[in-house]
Formats: sequence, structure tokens, C-alpha cells
Amino acid sequence: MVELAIGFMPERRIKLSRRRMIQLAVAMSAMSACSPSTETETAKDGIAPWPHDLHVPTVKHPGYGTFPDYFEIGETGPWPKILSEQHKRQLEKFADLILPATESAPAPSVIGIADFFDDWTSAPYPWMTDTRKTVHQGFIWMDKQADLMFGKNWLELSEAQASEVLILMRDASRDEGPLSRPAWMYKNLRELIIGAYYTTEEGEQDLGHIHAQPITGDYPGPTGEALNHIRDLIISLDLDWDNLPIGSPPYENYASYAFTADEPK
Amino acid sequence: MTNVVNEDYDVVIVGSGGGGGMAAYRLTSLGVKVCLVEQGPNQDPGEIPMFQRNDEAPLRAIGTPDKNWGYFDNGVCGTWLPDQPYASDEGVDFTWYRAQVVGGRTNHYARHSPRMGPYDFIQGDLDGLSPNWPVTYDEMKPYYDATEAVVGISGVNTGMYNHPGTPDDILQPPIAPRAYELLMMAAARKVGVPAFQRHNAILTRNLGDRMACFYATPCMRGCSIGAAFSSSTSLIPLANKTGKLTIVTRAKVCTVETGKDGKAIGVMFVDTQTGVEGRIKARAIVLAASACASAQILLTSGKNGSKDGLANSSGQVGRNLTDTPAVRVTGKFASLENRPRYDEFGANMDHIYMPWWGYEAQKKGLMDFPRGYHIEVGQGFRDAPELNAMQQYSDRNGLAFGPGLRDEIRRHWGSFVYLDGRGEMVANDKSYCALDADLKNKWGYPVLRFSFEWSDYEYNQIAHMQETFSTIIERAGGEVVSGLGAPKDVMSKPGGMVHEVGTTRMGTDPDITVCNPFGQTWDVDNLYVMDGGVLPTNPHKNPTLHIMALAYRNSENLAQRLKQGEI
Repeated sequence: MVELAIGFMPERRIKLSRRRMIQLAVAMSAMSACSPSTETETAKDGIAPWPHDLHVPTVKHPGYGTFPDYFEIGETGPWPKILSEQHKRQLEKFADLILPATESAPAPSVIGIADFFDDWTSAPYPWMTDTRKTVHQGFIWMDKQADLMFGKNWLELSEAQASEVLILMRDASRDEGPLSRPAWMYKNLRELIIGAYYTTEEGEQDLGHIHAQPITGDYPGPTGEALNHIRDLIISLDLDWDNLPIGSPPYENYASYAFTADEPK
Repeated sequence: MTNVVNEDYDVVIVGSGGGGGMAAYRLTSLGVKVCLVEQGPNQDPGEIPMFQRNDEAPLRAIGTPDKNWGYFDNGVCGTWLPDQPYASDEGVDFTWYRAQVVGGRTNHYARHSPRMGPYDFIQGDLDGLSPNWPVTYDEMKPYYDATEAVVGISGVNTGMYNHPGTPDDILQPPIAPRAYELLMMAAARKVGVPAFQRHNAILTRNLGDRMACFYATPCMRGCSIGAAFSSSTSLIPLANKTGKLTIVTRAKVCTVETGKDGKAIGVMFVDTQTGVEGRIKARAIVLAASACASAQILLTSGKNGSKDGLANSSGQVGRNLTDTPAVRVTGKFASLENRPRYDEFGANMDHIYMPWWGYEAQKKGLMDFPRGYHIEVGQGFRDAPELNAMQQYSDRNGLAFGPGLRDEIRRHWGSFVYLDGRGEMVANDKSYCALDADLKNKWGYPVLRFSFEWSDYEYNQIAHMQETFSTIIERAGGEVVSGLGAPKDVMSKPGGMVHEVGTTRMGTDPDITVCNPFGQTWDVDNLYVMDGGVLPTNPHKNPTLHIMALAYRNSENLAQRLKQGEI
């Protein structure tokens, strides 16, 4: 039902007016509020109840199998994508707070974090099924919690307000108490956002990771600055640098390092 | 594939991995007509996804129930195969990894290829805890040489006792150590643990049609250019060139069929696509389906459903099952934070290792475990980031978010190094596989049930690893962050190292072994086993090279007997 209601929404946020976004968000939280299970529990001590019984869409797909086509994965991937535009926007806001853009590195929303979650939450495997549940129930909770704290839903919150909600989730116990589920949600979504971000080219660049390219000839090992760094470190630890094999053979110093070659007595 | 294979063959080989591939290569090159049966599909080496980025795959290419070790991992394999379940005794969490594709497990292995040494063949004399091998190192040396000449090995010879070298005309140059490998080598050597560049089945020079490594793609995905050895790229093409090889794929061999005289006459298989049964006849049968799968075939092949199975007068089929006990101790190095970036990928696999050095101490009774281990070294910023491996870098300061988190992750990237221990297990009575009384596979054939226990030999060895690794890490200026604790809690799971061997062991005494010194079953004259099942012990020196060297040698024995009309 949720998917149907927003199926006409344009792909990207920039094409969506803020007013329209809020209208949709309000309409959707009204729809989910109709669920009797979420109505029965009320907030205690300023913490919204987690909607444990909220229906989460099931995925019936056999998976990509043991011998998938590695080259023709297709633009849409192996399984139908079922994440709503509303959830994509909510996740983008979440992700951009976890890893805000810098001058040199783009925000997660800019490099397709929504598409990642669309793939992930539409997959039939156990971990992804858990995440699907977390997203569906969790953003209902986050809207309610945002409402309790600021009288707005998650997407309407300012950056500072949204950060306060995340801090509440981050610092809560994951083992017990009314915030245990929100705390798990924070931990799990944060892990996925970071994992998804740094597995992109932009993420690798931000790490300074040098992705290997084919070379001809021998692998050189560390060179220049990297070699100086490790040499200085090894020497500063009072370890032996002179008998180590640096780069490609021949190693002129190799004979200087020998371990006993005799048969033990 | 075809359901009925009408042609008669000299030899049918079951399984196309290291053992089966080497048998196919050696037998066909000696003029023997071979049919190689593989239960998985063929994979064109040209269609290996070498260069795909993880973010081009579903779910960032992480492991799933369909592909345990990642989307692009080479091979059709896993521990969970819906058509082919297996059982474990209560409290036993045995993981049975099965590779079902042409090339078998050699599509996916670490390529670490140390030779066994003289001691490894005579453990019965040294500690009395398991029988000697029915061959000595001196007898095996020519077969190691011949095997390595085909496989292609790069590295250095350590010169250490019980770590035999490879002849200079075969050994290719080693691969330069990475920065963190240099640090660990220096620290290990300082505390009395030897450290060298290791022997890898990875080419650093061209070999035949295969090219030297270009140091850019993960070996575990397979290697189209054949730099990283696998049976599918490096042995089967050579066997094909002889014109003596037929390959039948997607055929799961269920039983070995025997005639009235008790000799094997062929194999019965099911087409895994259609479920239709078929038969292939041959003068001799070679089982190389992997240690436990070959045991399963023998146990299923019992006459009139006999639970004892075929070639099992000793009762040893499925017994003596061992795997490699292993533990990982990880160090965090403040001195490696924000270190200068460079291309640390190399040949992707480890370039160095630390061979076992404690033979003398063990001989003098100074250690509370009888067998050796070696140390592997990994991490740094060798591999590209993986989705489910970033917490180490992001969670050092709790679960922070916002400005500053990126700097934090960047700072820690590449500042961890782990040491992996790989030990030797002593076979015991409680570790074996047998047919389950009830469970069946999709085609109605019984499947295996695993029983498994580590003993104090393994636990004590793991404790020694933990202590040694901590010493090395701390000497290198690092802080141990994981891998300590009770060995039984932190060590590898049974089957976890995918080094199951021993289930059809060879020897000189038919009462306690399944195969004779040439891998020929004592009970069935024309039935051989050429996978890890025949290894009488499971030295910490990764099994693939020994399986292949034995297959090379024992194929010569089989070819000779065929030629002489003995079979």
C-alpha cells in the first residue's frame, strides 16, 4: 500500500518540492498510525514505543544461486526492488549525518546510498531480511520519536535536531530498555552506511586506498615514502633492517639471515 | 552433458580438483584414455570476473548462503547446498565446504605450497601418535619436483631442516614483501621465530601458456591468465591437449559399481540438472571427489545396501578425519596509523610466512603438543575495503557519527596486522564421517554425518600460537586486540580450514588403512583414491601440493599396471 501511494514520485530528491515531501510524509505516517498494534502502546518517559508488530513486506525470491552470471548482473540486480521513495529519503538523511560531505568527499546520498539500501532490503537472505524489518519498523519509530522531541517527523528535522535523535539512539543500551531496538537500528544502519560508502570508488579515494592496477614486471613492494616509513619504524624498534628482503631479488644480504639448517638432536 | 556415456574408458576419474586434475594430466600424458567426471559446471577461464569492483555486485559482493565467500568468489561452492545436505552430531558444528565446478577447490585456495619434509613422513617413529606414511621424503622428492614444475612455484628456499627447498631451475623468484610484512618478519626474527618469503603457486615468470602475475586482481576469484594455479586453468588444458580426455560435467557420482569378481566396472551418476541416472564404464576408477565425498561414495557403494560400504574391510573408510586447527591473533599498531599509502595488493595472497621451528624442543619433550604449525600474516591495506569489515576502523571510538568520523576511519585504515596460526591435528577416534541413518540427498542417496572433537594436542598448540603471536606483535610495537582467550572458544571450527584429510588413508597395513602405498584400495584391485583422503597425517603444510604430488606418483603406478595388463 505504501509503495502504491508513492509510486509516482520522481527519482531524485532535487525534483521534489519540500512542501510535497512533507505532505507525503504526513500522509504516510497517518497511514501507518492506522495499524492497531502501534496505537495501543504509548510513549513512556519521552521515548516512543517500537512498533514490533508492524507488518514488514516479505520477499519471495530464490536468491542469485550458486553460479550467477558475473557479467550480466543487470541494472536492476537479481531481485525486484521494493524500497519506497520515502524510505530512501529517510535513509539518505540518516546516512548524510553519519558521513557528512567534506570539501573533497561527497555525501552518501550523492553516491547512491539509497540504491544500495534498495538492493539490500529487497534481497532474500537473512541479514538483509533483518535490515528490511529494521528499516520498516525503525523509521516509524524515528518519526514518532522526532514528533515527541520536536513536533516534526524525521525528514522535517533540522540537522541539529536530527543529530539529537541519533545521539539518543547511539548512546542507548542495545541489550535492554525501551531504546534497545533503536540502538540496534543505529548500530546496524551505521555499519551498512560505512561499509557501503567505502566500497565505492569515492569511498576508496577518501581512505586514500590505492586500488591495484595491472603492472608488467615484478611487484615492487613499498617504495619511496612508504619504504622510508617502515624502515624508520623497524630501526626505531631496534629490529634488524639489514637482513630483510627489500623489493625483488637478488637479495645480496640474504645469506646474513639463516635459521638452523641442521637436523635437530 | 550426456546421460549415457557409451564409450569405454581406461580410467574414469571422479572429481576435477587438485587430485583429479593432476591424475587426468599425468594419465593422459602417459597415453591413458580418461573420462573426468565433475558434479559441477564448467567455467570458461576467460569468463572469470577478475576486475569487477565489489560495488558492481549485489550486496557489495559480500558472502551469502548462495555464495559463502562472496559474489565474485571463484567456484560454485558452499557449505549449504540445498540438494545435498549433511548432518553433524549434537554439539558438533562441522562445516563441510564443497566446491562444485571444474577445478574444484583449486579455484579457491591460498596457493601456499610448502613441501612436507622428512619428519612429516615418519611421525609414527617420532611421537607414535599416528602411523608413518608408506613413503619417505626421498621417495617423494622426484614427484614434488615434477609436480612443482607443472604447477609453477615462486618463493625462496629457507634452508631449514624439514622444510625442503625446490630446485633452482623450477623455483621462480619470490614476491617483494609488503611494508607490514617486513615489520612482522623483523619482529619474528628478533624473538627467535624464522620468517621468509613463502612458496606460492603463483607465477612470477611465464610458464608455458600461462602468464606471470600482473598483481592486480584477487586470486580467490580465479585467474584467467593462469598466474594463480588452479586445476581448471593449469592442468586440465594440458590434459585436453593430449586428445585423451573427455570431461563430463554436472554429473554427481553416487556409487562405484562392481562386477561378480569384486572388481570395479564403472560409476553410476545422476545428472544434477535432470535427475536422470547414467553409467560410465572403465577399466579402473580413480576417486578424487575430496576426502569426505570419496568416503561417502565408498560407503554408499556397499553391496545390497551393506552399511560397511566398498573397500572398507578395515572399517577405516570415513575414520581418521582431521582438519587444520587455526587461530587468528590481531594486532593494532599506532605506528602504522596514517602511514604512507602505496599499492599493497601485490599477488593478493601472503608473500611471507613463518615456518615451524620447534622440532628440537619437541624432540626434547619441552612442548605440550606433538606437532608443528606455521604462521601466516595478513591485512594492512592489502585488500580493497569490504562492506562487512569496516567496523575495525570505524568503531575504535565507539559508534561516533558526523564530522571527524572520516578522519578516524582513514587514520586506522591499514594499521591492523593479524597472525594466523595453521597447525597439525592428530587423528582421534571421535573425529570421523559416516552415513546418516535417515538423511538423503535430492536424489535419494544417503549423506554424511560428521562427528568431530579437537583434543588437548590441538588446544595446547593453539595456546602456544596465541602466546607466540602476542610476543611477535608486541615486539613489533603493536597491541593485541583480538584472538586471545580459551583456545576452544577462539579457534577455528571443525572443517573451517577446508583441509579435511585422512578418511581413506594409505599405509602398509591393510587392517588399519584403506589404500596401499600407491592409493590403490586394498579390497578392490582397480579402484584408486587420489584426493586428500589418502593422507595418513595432516601436516600443517597446506595439503594441496601433497595431494597433487601423490596423484602424480600414483597415476604413474596406475598407468603402468594398465599397460602391463594387470588391470
